[in-house]
Amino acid sequence: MRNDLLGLLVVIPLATAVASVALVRRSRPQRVLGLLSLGSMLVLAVGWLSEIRDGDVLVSQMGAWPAPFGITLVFDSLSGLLLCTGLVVALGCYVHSFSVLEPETERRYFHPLVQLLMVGVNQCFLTGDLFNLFVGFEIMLMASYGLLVIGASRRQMAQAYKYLVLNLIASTVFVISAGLVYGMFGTLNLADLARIVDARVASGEGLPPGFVGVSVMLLFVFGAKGAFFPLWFWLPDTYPTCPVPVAALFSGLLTKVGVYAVARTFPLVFAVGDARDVVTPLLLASAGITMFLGVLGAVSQHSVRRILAVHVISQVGYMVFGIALMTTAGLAGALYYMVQHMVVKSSLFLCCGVMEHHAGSDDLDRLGGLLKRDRFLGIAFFVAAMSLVGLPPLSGFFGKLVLVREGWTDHWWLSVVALLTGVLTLVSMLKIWTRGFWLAPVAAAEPAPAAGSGDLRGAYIGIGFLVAVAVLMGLAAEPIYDIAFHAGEQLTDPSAYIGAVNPRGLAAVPGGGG
Amino acid sequence: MTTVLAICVTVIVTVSVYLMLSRELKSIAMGVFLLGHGANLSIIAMSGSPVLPGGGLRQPPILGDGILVDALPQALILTAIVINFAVMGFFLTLLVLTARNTGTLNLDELALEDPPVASPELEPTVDGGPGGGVGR
Amino acid sequence: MVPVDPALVMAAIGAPVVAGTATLLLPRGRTSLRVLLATCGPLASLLFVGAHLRRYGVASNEEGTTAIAWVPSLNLDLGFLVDGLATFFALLIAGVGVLIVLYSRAYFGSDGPSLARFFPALGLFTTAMLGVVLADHMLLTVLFWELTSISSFFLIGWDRDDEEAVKRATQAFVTTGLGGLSLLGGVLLLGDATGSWRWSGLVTGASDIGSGGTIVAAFILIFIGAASKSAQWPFHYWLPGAMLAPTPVSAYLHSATMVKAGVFLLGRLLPVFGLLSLWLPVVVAFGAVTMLLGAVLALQQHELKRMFAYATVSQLGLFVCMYGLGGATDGHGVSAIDWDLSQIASHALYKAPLFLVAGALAHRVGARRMSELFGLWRRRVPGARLLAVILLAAGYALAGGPGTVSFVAKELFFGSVRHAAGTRPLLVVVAVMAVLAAMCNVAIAVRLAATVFGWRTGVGDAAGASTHGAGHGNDRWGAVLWLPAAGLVLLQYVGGLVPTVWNSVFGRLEVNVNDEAFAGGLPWFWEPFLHPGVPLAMSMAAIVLGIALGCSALMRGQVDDVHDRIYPESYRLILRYGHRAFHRVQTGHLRHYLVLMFAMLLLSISWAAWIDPSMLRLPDGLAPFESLSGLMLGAVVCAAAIALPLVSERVVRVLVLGASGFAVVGLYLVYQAPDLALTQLMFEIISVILFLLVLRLLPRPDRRPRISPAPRLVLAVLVGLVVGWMTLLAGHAAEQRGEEVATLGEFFEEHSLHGSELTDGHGGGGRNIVNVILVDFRGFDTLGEITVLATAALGVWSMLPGRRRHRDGGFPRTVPGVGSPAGIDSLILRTAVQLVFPLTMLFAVYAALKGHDGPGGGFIAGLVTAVGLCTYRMAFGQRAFHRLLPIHPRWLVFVGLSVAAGVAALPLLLGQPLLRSGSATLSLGGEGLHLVSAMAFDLGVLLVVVGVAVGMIGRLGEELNW
Repeated sequence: MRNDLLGLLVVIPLATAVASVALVRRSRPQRVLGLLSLGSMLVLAVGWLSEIRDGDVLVSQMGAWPAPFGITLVFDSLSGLLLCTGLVVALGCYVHSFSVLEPETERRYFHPLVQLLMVGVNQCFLTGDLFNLFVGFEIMLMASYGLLVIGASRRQMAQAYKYLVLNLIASTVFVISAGLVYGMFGTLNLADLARIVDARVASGEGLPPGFVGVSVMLLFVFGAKGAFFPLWFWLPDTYPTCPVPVAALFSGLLTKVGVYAVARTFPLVFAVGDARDVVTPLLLASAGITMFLGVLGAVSQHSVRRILAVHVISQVGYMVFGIALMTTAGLAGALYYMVQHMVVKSSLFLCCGVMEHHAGSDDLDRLGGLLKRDRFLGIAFFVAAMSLVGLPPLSGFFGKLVLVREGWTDHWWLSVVALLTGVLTLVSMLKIWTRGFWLAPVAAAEPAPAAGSGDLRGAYIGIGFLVAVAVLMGLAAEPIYDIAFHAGEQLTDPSAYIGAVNPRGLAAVPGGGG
Repeated sequence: MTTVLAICVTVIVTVSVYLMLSRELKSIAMGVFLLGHGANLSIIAMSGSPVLPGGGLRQPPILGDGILVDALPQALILTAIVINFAVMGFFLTLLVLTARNTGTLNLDELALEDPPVASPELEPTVDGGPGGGVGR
Repeated sequence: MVPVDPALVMAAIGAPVVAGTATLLLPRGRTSLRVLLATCGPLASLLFVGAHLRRYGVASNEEGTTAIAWVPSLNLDLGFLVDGLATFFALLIAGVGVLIVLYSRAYFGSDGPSLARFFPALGLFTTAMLGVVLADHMLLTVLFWELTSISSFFLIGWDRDDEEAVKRATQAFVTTGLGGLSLLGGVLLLGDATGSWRWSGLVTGASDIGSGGTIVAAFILIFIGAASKSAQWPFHYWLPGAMLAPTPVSAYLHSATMVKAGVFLLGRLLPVFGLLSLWLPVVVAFGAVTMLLGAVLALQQHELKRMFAYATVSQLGLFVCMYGLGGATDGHGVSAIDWDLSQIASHALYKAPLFLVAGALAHRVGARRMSELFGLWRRRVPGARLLAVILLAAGYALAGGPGTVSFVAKELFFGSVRHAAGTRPLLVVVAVMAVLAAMCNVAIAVRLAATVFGWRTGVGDAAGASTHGAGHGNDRWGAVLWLPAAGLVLLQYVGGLVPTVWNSVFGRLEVNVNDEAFAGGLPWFWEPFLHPGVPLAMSMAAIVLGIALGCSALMRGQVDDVHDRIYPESYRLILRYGHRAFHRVQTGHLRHYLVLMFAMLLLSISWAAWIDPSMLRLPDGLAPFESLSGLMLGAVVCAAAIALPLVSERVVRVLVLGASGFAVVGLYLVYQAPDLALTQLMFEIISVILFLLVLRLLPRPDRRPRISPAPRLVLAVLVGLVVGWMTLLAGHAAEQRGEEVATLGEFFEEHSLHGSELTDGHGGGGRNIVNVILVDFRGFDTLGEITVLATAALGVWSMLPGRRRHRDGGFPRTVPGVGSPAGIDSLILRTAVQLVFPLTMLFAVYAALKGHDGPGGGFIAGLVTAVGLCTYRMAFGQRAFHRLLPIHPRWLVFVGLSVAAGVAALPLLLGQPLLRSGSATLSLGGEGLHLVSAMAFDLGVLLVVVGVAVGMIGRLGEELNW
């Protein structure tokens, strides 16, 4: 189904960014613009998502060139669900940032960079073209570099270079692989690639030598972006250093785009034929280790931010688990888990921000007794934390439910790992809860630094919004899982996707005469 | 021709990786920069050899007579080059600030910045002992 | 039978939490009102269930209610099963719940805040508990199961400043949480294996679930869940630990209800798994061990609540054992289990009172340990005797003395052991253990009595009997401190002495009624004496031995339970080794990360080659010597690259880097890529400038020994080979590519100038295919790419915010001695630039205009301009440059990006997709107008490139004040 307005999801934030570059010295108008842009995009995306509830696919051919020759934007269940969630997360973190960001930091192009980040993220979710996916990644990463070092404090500068170098290498490998793919197949459009690959496997002609090599290289790339084992190193070192809203935004968006890229391209193209036998074991092993080693690392940390940051890894493992199963339900579970995790994890980071604001530090020894001081924060944190652990009836439960159930049949050991990881997650969350909210602080906390404007209204609104969404995702699990299931079907049987993008069907001329 | 490019790519990538494994952040920057060249050369190889089987050369991708080379890899490389430029500009500036903030670009010294702290629970004193205690 | 309305059941389940949270709305002061409101919750559920019992009777356990859909695709709906088992537990939970609410009023006194906190949590727990017993969908059971864990966490960790209490709460939560997850896993297995996700459905299909591996695994997992909740060995440690909770909580959660959830689950599962050969040995074994262990440990506790806690553990073991025996049948298919519900009820009816009295004693007498009770009877403390009477009455029931229900209950249990042992001789061991456990209980009762009356055989002595200050003075609510306990104990004796009453209540709930002796209901308590049998002998033996033990000096010392260490120790182990394992890879050292990453790449590639060796075959028809110029340039590139790590002087290095770049330019020319060559050339110049600038800003490298090159070299060579090899393969594939499908390149070649019917005449309208691709076919890439450029510039400006300029446009010197705002003072350079600068500008304009048809285009023009401007700035310094370009480069980026984005977005207004290029949109001018749209886009690109390049270099230049 053609819908040329899809481009808006890229143009709106771009235009907003440009406008706020002009307004860079003045905060208020930038904030208003930013809210408008995020809000309007959310409305659009949700509208389209409800439009494709029963598994349609919206496409728009850039420049009206027929696929695969132009670049195609695709809005199917997978990208749609992620887009909406990403916008929700961005909105929450953005509002939160109003009250915790120092005005000086804010004036250092914070608002344009956030918008540009959204440009990149949206483009990654929407695009149906391998090289364009690379460009989207670059936009997102470049904006994230800028946000990572915003404020340019010593702690940030001492860590940022790792993030930069590791991602640069991954990006370069990405470019090379994209080139290799073009060399092998003469096309870059994912749907077209899927068609060709299927045809060659079906006709017994077989795939060109080195195809498996390319898919492994791409796995390496996306693994580095999505922080799989053993490519996650940039994450735990950098997240604890940057401002809280930024960390929340990153934990909600960055790694997920990497995971999305795997979910999008591998079942479609790069895990077909021999490549599947190559990729699946790698994914499974990586999933298990990522889950368990990640949570081990998280439990043993001693500051809230580090615990949360390292947890991001552990839960990426769950998503990889689901994807590695390559079954409809597995992919659906991974998607559902991913969606709820984006919201929950970001809200936890935001809570951490307010905790720091109260206690002046996120060290577990300095925190304490916060429940007496800030009941709302306590409730929000506990709900989010339990949802992260996956206790019913919160959203995390359903995600874990599907994954474990799907894993039992073929890879029971992974399901066991997943369950054990759940227990350790519970331990680490209770560690934060008891030390931070119940017991009195061990060490005397110094008075809180005046981070951002005094009033925490924005912060509370952001947290409340995200936590509310998280709870809603649990109660309304059915419709969300329904969409996720459609996505799973479209990934395991891409015919609908290919048909909608229509590579080489070429009957109806997109665009037509103006 | 493809073979020549492949060899060049091999050499360039080797050198850049070698530089990246060094101890100085500056050398790493150069390595990354060089890696960009390697990537571009690898992509240009995808337009096939410019030498026709007959012996003549393909023409540059500007409409005219003669057989043209594949233009898409060139376009991709143009994009890659520009992005590379942007990234390098940012990276070099980051180096300047890293040096200013930490006073060094030596990896071994940078690695000492803000190391992960072991949590005090690791001391055997905490959490030990039998449970119970006096109820209410 | 009339279908049961699920909404009714949900109301019964939800009432307590609703009432509990409603109390939050009340103003602080209104304590009495608060209590009454909170009481309404469980009371309502009690009435609901009672009414339900009257109306529908007891559903047979095949009849679940109709379900209210929640998450049907995950088999999780709101369906309930109200059979005898469920009804019994529901009555128990709700009934005791009411008493607990009242008791807590007396316990917390008029302490408003505590009550305000307490009732919501208690309500949540009651609801969760009712849910567990009434749920029909397995996953719904799991859901409520976890809710009980959460709420009990809050109730145990009641005293938030007490580190010990908080730790025990966490321990209980994690232990039961572990069980909960195991239960979840088991349920998922069971559901997928049987395809039925409702208990009711399972019971009917129970016969044919078989005994496959899946079923056994499911049974084991679920049993772990039940065992952890019901404090079976080795999980039992959490229960005594949880005794730091307020007494109402201990009495409710840890004796009457929550710990029985596991027992309940076993009751549910008996019809499902009972036929498994594994059921009886596993369940009975764990139950029996727990039963004996608990009893022995209970006898050796001196602190009342801990003693009762261990007694509870023992009793739970007995129940588990009981359901385990339920798997045993004699030849006639008669199950060994008998009147199980009555046995459970009887336990609740003496254990809850024991706890309640313990709490009351702590309040009134300040006695928490046995020794402090010494001679309680003779003390002048108001209500002491009353409490003592209740304590001893309950103790007598604990001992299972004749005249109480628990006497008959014990008879029943011994009976079923004997029955089962008839077919399985090995169970005699269990019989012995049961007797020993009962003996310990008797001994406990004896010691309680001796202590209370201050006899010689009592624990402690007059010295130990220090009377602490009494707790809260008793206001008009004081009576509820002992009334609930008294009421419950009374039921024990009523049931024991007048069994008809008991039978009329529980008889209709009992499902497992086998033994013909008791077919008519519980017997009058003398009947066992009339026709004595093995069970009577066993209990007599227990009583006699127990009295002896109680009076003897044996086992009086207080012992610690080794199991208390399980949790803390494992926690510390996990922390220590987790920390080690994680930071073994997360060293914080970039070089380690890089090595790991590259190694990972190599490993996975070789794994791929292992699976598909075809990628190792050397493609045929390689022609390395096609073009000599190519060969030479390739050699130059390689030479320059290899030279790079060898030279040490920084500036030379940069130049070598540039040299390799220029060689690459040559290769592009060989590959017939003029645009690339131009771009690369400009790009190379600018980056050399950039590098040189930055080098001056960086500290000199310290001369320390370099890392040994060998391993680096190996890794590097391997990675290089991989990438090169892949290039070779793909490039070869590109040459051999089958012509069956048009590649993108071919399409672009055909449509670069004019369209075809494929695009209904819509063509690119340019001769320079590369440029047309950039601004039209793949203009979206270009849009993204200039976005990246702009983003990078923003990042740079954000990191290095520019210093405010003085009004007169002068620049403060911050880096003294380095350069001068006047630029490099060299006549040659200046004259050269003066000559060259206009030319470069001219060329830029030409490239921009010509770009669509010949080599050139926005990028090249932009880069040329940037180079020109930078050299100008170098020659004439900031001030002159500022006169030349009086605005912040930010504005160039701003304008450029808005132009490009505008051109891209314009077609949206005309109902066209992004970047639909001009000619077809507005066909009035045709070609002419077409150029406008594409060129406008290109202009945007140009501006952005100039702005970014000049902005970055200018910014860094200012840092050098150069």
